Amino acid sequence: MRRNYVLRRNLTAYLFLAPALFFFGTFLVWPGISLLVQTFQTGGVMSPAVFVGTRNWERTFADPLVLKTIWNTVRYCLMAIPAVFVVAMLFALALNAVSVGQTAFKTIIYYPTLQPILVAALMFTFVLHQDFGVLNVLMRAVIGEPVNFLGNEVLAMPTIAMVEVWKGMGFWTLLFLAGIQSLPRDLYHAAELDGAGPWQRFFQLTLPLLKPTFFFSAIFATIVNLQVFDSIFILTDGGPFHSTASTTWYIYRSLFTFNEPGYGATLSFVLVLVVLALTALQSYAFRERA
Amino acid sequence: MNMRTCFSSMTGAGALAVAAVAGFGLWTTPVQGGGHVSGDITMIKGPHSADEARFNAMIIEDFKAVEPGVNVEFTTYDWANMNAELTAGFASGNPADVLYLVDLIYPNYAEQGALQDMSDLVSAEEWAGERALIPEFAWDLSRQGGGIWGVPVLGAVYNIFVNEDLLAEAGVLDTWNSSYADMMDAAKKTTGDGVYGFSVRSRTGDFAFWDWLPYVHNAGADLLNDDWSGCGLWGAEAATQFLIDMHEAGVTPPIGSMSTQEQFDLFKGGKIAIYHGETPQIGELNANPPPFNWDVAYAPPGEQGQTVMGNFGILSIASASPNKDAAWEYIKHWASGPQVGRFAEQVNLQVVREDIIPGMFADNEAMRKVQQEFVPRVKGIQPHPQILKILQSIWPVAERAYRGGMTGEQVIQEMCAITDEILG
Amino acid sequence: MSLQPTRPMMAASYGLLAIAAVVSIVPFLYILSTSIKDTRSLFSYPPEWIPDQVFWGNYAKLLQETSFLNWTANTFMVGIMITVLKLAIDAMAAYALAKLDFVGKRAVSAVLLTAVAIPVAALIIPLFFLVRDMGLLNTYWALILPALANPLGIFLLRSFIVSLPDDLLHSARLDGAGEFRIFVQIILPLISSGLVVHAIFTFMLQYTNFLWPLVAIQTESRQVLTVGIASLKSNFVVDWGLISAASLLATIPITLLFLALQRFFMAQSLSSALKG
Repeated sequence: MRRNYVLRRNLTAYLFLAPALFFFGTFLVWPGISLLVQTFQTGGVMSPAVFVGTRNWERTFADPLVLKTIWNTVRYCLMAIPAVFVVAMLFALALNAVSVGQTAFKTIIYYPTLQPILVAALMFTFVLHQDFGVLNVLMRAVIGEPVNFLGNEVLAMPTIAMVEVWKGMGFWTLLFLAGIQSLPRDLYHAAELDGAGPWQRFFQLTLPLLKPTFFFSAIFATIVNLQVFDSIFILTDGGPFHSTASTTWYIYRSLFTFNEPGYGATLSFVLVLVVLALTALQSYAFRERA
Repeated sequence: MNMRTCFSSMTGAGALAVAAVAGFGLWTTPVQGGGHVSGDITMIKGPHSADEARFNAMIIEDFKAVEPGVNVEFTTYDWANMNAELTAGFASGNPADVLYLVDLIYPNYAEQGALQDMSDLVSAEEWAGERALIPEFAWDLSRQGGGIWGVPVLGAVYNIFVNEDLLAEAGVLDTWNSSYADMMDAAKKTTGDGVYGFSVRSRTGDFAFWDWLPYVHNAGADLLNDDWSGCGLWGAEAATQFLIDMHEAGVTPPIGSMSTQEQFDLFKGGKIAIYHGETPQIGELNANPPPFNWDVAYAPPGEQGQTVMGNFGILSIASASPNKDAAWEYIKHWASGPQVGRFAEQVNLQVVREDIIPGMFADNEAMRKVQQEFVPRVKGIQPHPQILKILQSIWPVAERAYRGGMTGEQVIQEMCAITDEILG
Repeated sequence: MSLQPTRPMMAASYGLLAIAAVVSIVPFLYILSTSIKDTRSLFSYPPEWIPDQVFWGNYAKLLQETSFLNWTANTFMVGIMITVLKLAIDAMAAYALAKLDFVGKRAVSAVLLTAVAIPVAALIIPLFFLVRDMGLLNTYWALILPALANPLGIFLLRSFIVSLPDDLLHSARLDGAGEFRIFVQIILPLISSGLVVHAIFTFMLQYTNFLWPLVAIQTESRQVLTVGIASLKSNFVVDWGLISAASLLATIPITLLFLALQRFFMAQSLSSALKG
């Protein structure tokens, strides 16, 4: 009787999981295993694959550009993620506070997220243009001269981060707003009766209650941003002199531009390891503070 | 829309196409001069114009008249992603039969066995006359590793555009490209009041190396040495130093601040005196004439010559193509004088076959000048299978040098170290 | 959190939203301006933001000479298909992970979470071979099926389900409700705002996806918008007017869809919230 119950409970759970596990196994795990095999091969795309032992891995560890792209990618994340979280949290709080026009504002803020990167890049060509770009018009007024956003090796990565924040803020705003709106109202009423002001309510109620959302968001944002590619590919192609070269950019280049699928596969594995390490670190940090 | 009906109608269309093909083979009677091949073929090409598909439809329509049994489908690849798209096509086992490839990328595909060696086809007796019309230097570019991988059809020349009014105002119109010193002088004299004297591309994504290579070639150097066994850039130190000096002299737009497209806008606005561009931009200048006199030009003579950079495009056949006969017929048609000539005029590119050059660009003075005066000076790249990798790997060195703090000598040293490592 | 905000907070909120709206919208004005000009320049010197004469040729050319309408239809068909399937698959899995006990739960979670970290760009070549061997290249299935694999959405929805009180489920189970009924009748309505976020995000990812459709689809008329728009860009002289027109037109249907989606879901979440 008891065993029967346990069996049924497990069966039910796996039935719920079955479709997800099926697609996951077929279109993610299987290609992932093929990828691992590829790291010990060369060719295989147009010509038959040849086994080369650990040559790709040796090359990876000897290649200074690998470390540079990892550092660039992490640097980019450290700029883009906190920025987009702060901006989106502010927008979400503002949206939650207003009632008239909420839908209109939501739609407008979400609009940039829907832009294909080619179009976003085109827009930013206008925004950043040396002579007429809206930001450089501002810069002329504020600091007296235009800023070479994409041509300066120090500014190029922050500029990429800015574009990505612009593109991503709509999504994070909606996510945080959904989180805020799903919080139990009773607690707020109780807090208000206890005389807690808006700031207190935000720091002592909203932020702690949103912890699961933040946990998910931090992990998710790290994973997504560590794969930054489109905006770099279109705006700078890794330049000036590799100052915006991300790991995914390097993977793409090895796979497609240089026709070195084995090396590209190896770089991909390096990236997977970096992502895993960083997300594990985050999970640990969140758990510690709990 | 219902997904299932959508998909089944797709397969239905496929079956119809197969039936149609079979039908053509049985019922059409050969037309004189052709008609001996049949089937479906696909051609893929990067667009040289927003009207690319329309221009190719004209070529296909004319082909139908000679080879009614062949259906040609035309598709394009996106230049920025051409490697990804072409690689996917080859890997699918079902690539386009006819491929327009540039000299920068075809050698790698040839090395990997994705292309058909066309040595026998182009050597055939019946095509000898046509083959002879394409100069040997062009054939050299499609020859590699003992094979011939395509028929050279088009060339894209990287030329300089000058604003003659600005140069005349500064009194340097006749002297500006007599020597590198004169060019520097002209750039300095024309700079000021929102005008930049000089511009070259600097971004890797803009293929900036095209603007640097003529200066390298003029110094007698090249990317690879004569037998392609190592770096051949030795000798290009002074030429590279010259371009570094140009950037340090403050006569260029802030380095990296503009794409080549934005620089061209600046030129059209009368704000750049000496602009490095590409001949298809002539079409734009003819269509929307700027309010000043302009001309096409090339770089001053170096120690070892006065060359012009050019890219070549060849028509290749995929080794996986099931219908190589039809593909070859279509390539011969595409490469024939009337077809390639009309297309080149439509998109402002150069042709390589010599018989049609005299009659080309009758009402396009700048293009005529490029075709007749520049093309003979063209020195392209060495079609080594690793050439794209070499160019993209060494270019960041120049990007850094243009921003100061590096000499031409150091640049060449670093570039050669990278090149030699890639070549092993 | 629905307390009456104070007057200054309200004012500050509207101020902030106004800034957000400007930042979001201003770049589009450039695009709009470019799309109604008959020029192949990005900039004319001096710039002409509002052209003397409005030029509709870019729009006409787009609709008449390109496969723009096909690309739009394909994008929506594929996007909606993926979104519907993915929402169902992910919500079910999320429920199991959040509220059901079973052997191997930790392992399944760990494996799924690990796989989230695999960069999609890295898998393109093995995925390409897989789809090729299944005979799906150049079909819509090639775009739809691989998109269902990423388990990220499971964790998004899980984070919404986890915070629901367990008592709710217990009492339903005591009433004799099966797990599937609990899932459909209790869980789904309560996480509707999470579902909206997931739907919007899934659709948006698909809508802006570029690299995979580029390699998986060869026939131009079967292509999606992102790749289609990129194919309007020839390499030398770029027809920015045409591209701008395309990108503006492309945003109209998706904005409508967004409005419809969120109105539908928001109303639901409001009613469920009031009940709760």
